[in-house]
Amino acid sequence: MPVDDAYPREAFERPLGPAGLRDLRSRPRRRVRLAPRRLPPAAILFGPALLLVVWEIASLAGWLSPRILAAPTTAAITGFDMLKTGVLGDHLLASAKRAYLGLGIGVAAGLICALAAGLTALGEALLDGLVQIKRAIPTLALIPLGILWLGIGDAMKVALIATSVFIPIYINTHAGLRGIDFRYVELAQSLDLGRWEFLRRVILPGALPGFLTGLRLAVTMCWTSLVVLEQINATNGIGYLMNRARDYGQTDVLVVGLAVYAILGLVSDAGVRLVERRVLSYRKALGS
Amino acid sequence: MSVHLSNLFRGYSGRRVLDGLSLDIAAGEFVALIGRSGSGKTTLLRAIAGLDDEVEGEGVVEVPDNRSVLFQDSRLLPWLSVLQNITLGLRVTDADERGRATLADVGLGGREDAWPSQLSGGEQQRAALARSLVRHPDLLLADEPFGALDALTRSRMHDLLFRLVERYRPTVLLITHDVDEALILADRVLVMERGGIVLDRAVSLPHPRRRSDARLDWVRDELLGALGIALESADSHRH
Repeated sequence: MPVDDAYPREAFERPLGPAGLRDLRSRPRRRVRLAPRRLPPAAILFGPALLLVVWEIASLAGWLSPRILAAPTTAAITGFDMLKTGVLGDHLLASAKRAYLGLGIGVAAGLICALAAGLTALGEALLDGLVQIKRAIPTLALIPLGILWLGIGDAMKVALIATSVFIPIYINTHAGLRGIDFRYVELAQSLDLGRWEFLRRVILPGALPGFLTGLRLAVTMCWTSLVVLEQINATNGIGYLMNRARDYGQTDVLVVGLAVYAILGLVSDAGVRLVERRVLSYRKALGS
Repeated sequence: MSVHLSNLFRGYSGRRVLDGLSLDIAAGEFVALIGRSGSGKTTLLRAIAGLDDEVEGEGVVEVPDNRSVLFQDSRLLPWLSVLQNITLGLRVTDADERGRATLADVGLGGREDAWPSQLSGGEQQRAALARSLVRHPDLLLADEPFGALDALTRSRMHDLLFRLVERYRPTVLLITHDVDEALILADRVLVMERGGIVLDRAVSLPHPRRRSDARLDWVRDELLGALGIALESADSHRH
């Protein structure tokens, strides 16, 4: 078959103007959408908002007894009252002290151990196996020993928070150090970098993304550990507040406590992400 | 004499990669080294650069202390600005000033504060060239530095490299796959095969040279011949 017959002549003669474009559009081609549609950032609030509405309706309709679970509005009012009288603030402060003291100690220890294990053969031999064993032991399992050694006071709580936070910091920083491109080490060698400059310019910035991932896990983890730990001989703190509310069947206070934990976790995470975005700004250029 | 190698052996797990190689390079000479993959080019360059501490071997290596390496990838640290990358490890009081001047030399003036990821591939390689030259090296070792660039960018880089070498006057050892690149740039072309140098040819044409210059034809034929013979003998070994 001659080529001339296969394509109508006008197909070649059509001007490349708007008419030609419209012509293309008149034959729609269905394209399969492989990736989900991009949502505006606020769209992730849809699920939580829907849950609140359903929950409120269920409470109003009487399907959900306040003895099982308080309505969101009841909890909100209780929370607001507690905030106004300062009760919530005092307990929050007591919890925050424990959580962030433990966080600080755990982060410092995790970082130092990760650097020791990542940069020296002796450190690796000495520390890595121990940390892997510690990782396999849940923090909760350490509570009895913690109590025997440190008593039932704050020292035990802070120490256990620190040991639980230590793990994600160590693991992720260590992985970050291990993952530094060997070609950069070779470059440093060819540029005759000194040990300190190598550490400051190559190693630490290279391990920073891993450390920050660890920190994101750690900031939420310190609060998670606190929930359990504040059930042991505490006279203040969010965990103590919730424990007492359980004894009195105050489901509204329980909801307030849960909300506080959720907010703290989200805010801490957002804070680390903000830091991440600032110190890793060189990566932004990659994504765009 | 800038580089003196004699009876150099290097090997990985029993396989000899450099087999009793000897080579002298005069100060200020621009030497290109071509050879098939696996002929030992990179091993030789790493031996000269002193980047092969973990490789077994023996032999005499006398090279200047002040040497710098231009890798095939630009190897800029992504978390340092372009200027910080250039001056990395540069222990002089006016490091920043010198860095700026060298960046201007490679046509990257004004990009000092950019992140490496914001540069194009050609610009990244120019920044890497600036990092090598800012140290005013006595010996510049380049391992296929333009291999990953497109043809037009590569030809611009040839001009730039030649101009800057004229200016900074290092001794140069350039590894390349590209026979024409070697012919356009070098005073002397070496062909490497199975851990030794099988051809050592001076190219004394004045610069700038053109690829199409008929006077280069016989040298090109000779070089391709040397590479080709190597290929044939490699084939006959396989059968």
